[in-house]
Amino acid sequence: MEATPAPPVPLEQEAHMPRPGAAGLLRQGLRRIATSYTFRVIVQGALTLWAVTTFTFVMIRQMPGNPVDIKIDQLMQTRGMTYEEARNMAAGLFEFDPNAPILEQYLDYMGKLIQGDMGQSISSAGTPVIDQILRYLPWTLFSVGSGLLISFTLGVFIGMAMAYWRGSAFDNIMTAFASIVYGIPDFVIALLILLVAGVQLQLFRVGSVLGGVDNDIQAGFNLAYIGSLIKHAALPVLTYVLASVGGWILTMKSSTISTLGEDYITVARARGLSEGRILTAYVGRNAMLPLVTRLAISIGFVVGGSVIIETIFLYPGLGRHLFLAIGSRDYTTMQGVFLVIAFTVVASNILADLLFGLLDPRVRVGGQQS
Amino acid sequence: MTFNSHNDVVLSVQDLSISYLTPRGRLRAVSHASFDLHQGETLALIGESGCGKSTLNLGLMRLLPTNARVDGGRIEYTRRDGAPIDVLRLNDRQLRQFRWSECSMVFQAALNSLNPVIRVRDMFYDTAAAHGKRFRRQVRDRALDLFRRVRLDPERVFNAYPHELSGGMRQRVLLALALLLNPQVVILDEPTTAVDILTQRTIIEVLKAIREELNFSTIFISHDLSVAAEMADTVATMYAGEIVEIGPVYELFYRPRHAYTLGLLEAVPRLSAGEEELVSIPGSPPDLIEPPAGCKFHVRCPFATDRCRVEPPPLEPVGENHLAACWEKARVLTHALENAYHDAPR
Ligand SMILES: Nc1ncnc2c1ncn2[C@@H]1O[C@H](COP(=O)(O)OP(=O)(O)OP(=O)(O)O)[C@@H](O)[C@H]1O
Ligand SMILES: [Mg+2]
Repeated sequence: MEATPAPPVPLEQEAHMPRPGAAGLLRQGLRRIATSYTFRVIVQGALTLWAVTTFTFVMIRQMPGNPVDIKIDQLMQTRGMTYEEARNMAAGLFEFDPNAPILEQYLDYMGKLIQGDMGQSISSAGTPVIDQILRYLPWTLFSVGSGLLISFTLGVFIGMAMAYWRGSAFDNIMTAFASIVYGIPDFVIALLILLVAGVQLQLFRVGSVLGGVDNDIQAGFNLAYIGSLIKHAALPVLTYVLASVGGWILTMKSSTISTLGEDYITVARARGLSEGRILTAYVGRNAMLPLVTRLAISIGFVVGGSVIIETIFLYPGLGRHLFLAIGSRDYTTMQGVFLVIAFTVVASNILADLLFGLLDPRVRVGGQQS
Repeated sequence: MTFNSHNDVVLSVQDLSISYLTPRGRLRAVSHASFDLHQGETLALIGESGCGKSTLNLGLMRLLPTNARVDGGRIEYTRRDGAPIDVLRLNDRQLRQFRWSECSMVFQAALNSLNPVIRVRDMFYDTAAAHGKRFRRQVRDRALDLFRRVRLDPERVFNAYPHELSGGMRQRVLLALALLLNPQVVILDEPTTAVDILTQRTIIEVLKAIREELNFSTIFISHDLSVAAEMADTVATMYAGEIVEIGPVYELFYRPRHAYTLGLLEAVPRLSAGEEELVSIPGSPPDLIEPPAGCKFHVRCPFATDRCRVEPPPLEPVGENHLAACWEKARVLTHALENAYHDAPR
């Protein structure tokens, strides 16, 4: 390499050069911004959760019927009781008093909530709401989470390949496929899978794939149980993948195309870099930036997006649990699940911010954002 | 400096033609370009926007976009060890080796030439690694040395992200990056247009200094004739994809033989101009998909005759190392000498 030493040219003091004395000040300032950012995020998050809780608290009580009425109806129909009998029995079943003033109910609920107590389920008296949530949530996280990951990964690779081979048969076919599945609502996909693949073509027995796991298998860490879990999760996951992969493909394709047109890609080629290095560190990382935010935000819809699909496949997740709770007007359970949904949305937005800052040095949190 | 001997030619371009396939038809962006670049020489390419300067240089590095085609010609490069390289025949692997280690480029869009998500140092390491240099210490030392030469604060810039640097700093980072592998030829595509006048000065000064120290040849594209005059040993004028005049800087500026070169010179504002008028060339460059017949400049040329409208003039010697493609050479020269319209290049 070069032998002659560089001449002692004066260095330029340009832009944001921290001067020796200013270093401490700068660090102090940065820390202050960082704390204020964290502080702001927490306050904003808490306010959002409070607003959602209050709003849903009022809204679900506007739905026709209350838990007691619904139960009375049910008892009269299934057991042939008279209204009087049914009402007495229902009153004994519930600790809930539908006639208490709404403000009193609200203050009571919020008071407990602040202490971390979501209350007891109304329709299955004696079961804490939190226990039910913890019981059903893993199913939803597992199925929707795998769907999201599979779909994201497929979308990134397929979209990138399409951008590289733009105009090829592969590109054209995948574009058509992605546009079509992108346009079909997820519950239609779920029904099509059940009706066409299950009922018409008989690719599987519909009865054997519904639910969460086969009942006759011992729960535990063994192959049969895991196999059964996967078998039952397969169709919901397939639905989630089909419903969302089109969006990932199309976004990744357009993002990759615009990244490929950037000057720094040409410069990277000019520098003699291998295609592999260009593909990953230059094209890939830049093209993924807009998708990562979207991915983080999608995580927020894990529970909310699972309600109909889980109901169709009788999948024992939080979404179906919410659906049943709505049916029986189980106020506390609905309240609890809505709180979980709101929390995941808030958390995923914060995650999106953090991730984006991590991947894109230009928007490091606490820098430009504050 | 004069460049007579034939054995110190590093880059020889012969009859190179490049077109773009466009929806409207074939666009001839470079047409039968020929020139030799000697060791240590600086060749300035001047000409209006859209005349094919960038295309020619992208062609030299085979970095043309996918809709471009090399229609013909040869690009011969001679390595330091004397081995000839036929650039248009290199396979992918050879091409990757050739790029940057033999011939590097500072791009016109310098501000967007650096990957925004990785640090400057990683771009240096990447480049070195692609050419088999995996010793990071050496790469780092070399980079820091180059940063000092281009008057950047070495440590800070090396570890910075591109967005933390100003436009002028990024330009110099690219210059340092272009010199990392000690290439023989460095192409500078309008290195001074995107920055303010003071930064422009700094870059010119830096370039002049390191050119002496590191001894590489330069193809220097510029809109700015005074910069070209200051930097260049040889100047080539391009018009509508053709090199219409090429010669030693002094010759070309004082004894131009092509009406277009003359037009460009008259369009340069001068401090001593007084009440003399600044003449800009009337009209605009021709459509390159359907160029005019004869001399492509005839439509805008004050010297044009009937012959110019039908017969394209050949590029002919008009002096020592000086070639021009104009039917009205004599009248152009007379006009130039009568109106001693420009200051001496410094
Ligand atoms: N990718 C492309 N596809 C089609 N035509 C192109 C493409 N790139 C450039 N051209 C055309 O080729 C001609 C030469 O362009 P080029 O960029 O080489 O000009 P230039 O001399 O570098 O101009 P400038 O001084 O503005 O940078 C122009 O007419 C331009 O419109
Ligand atoms: Mg250009």
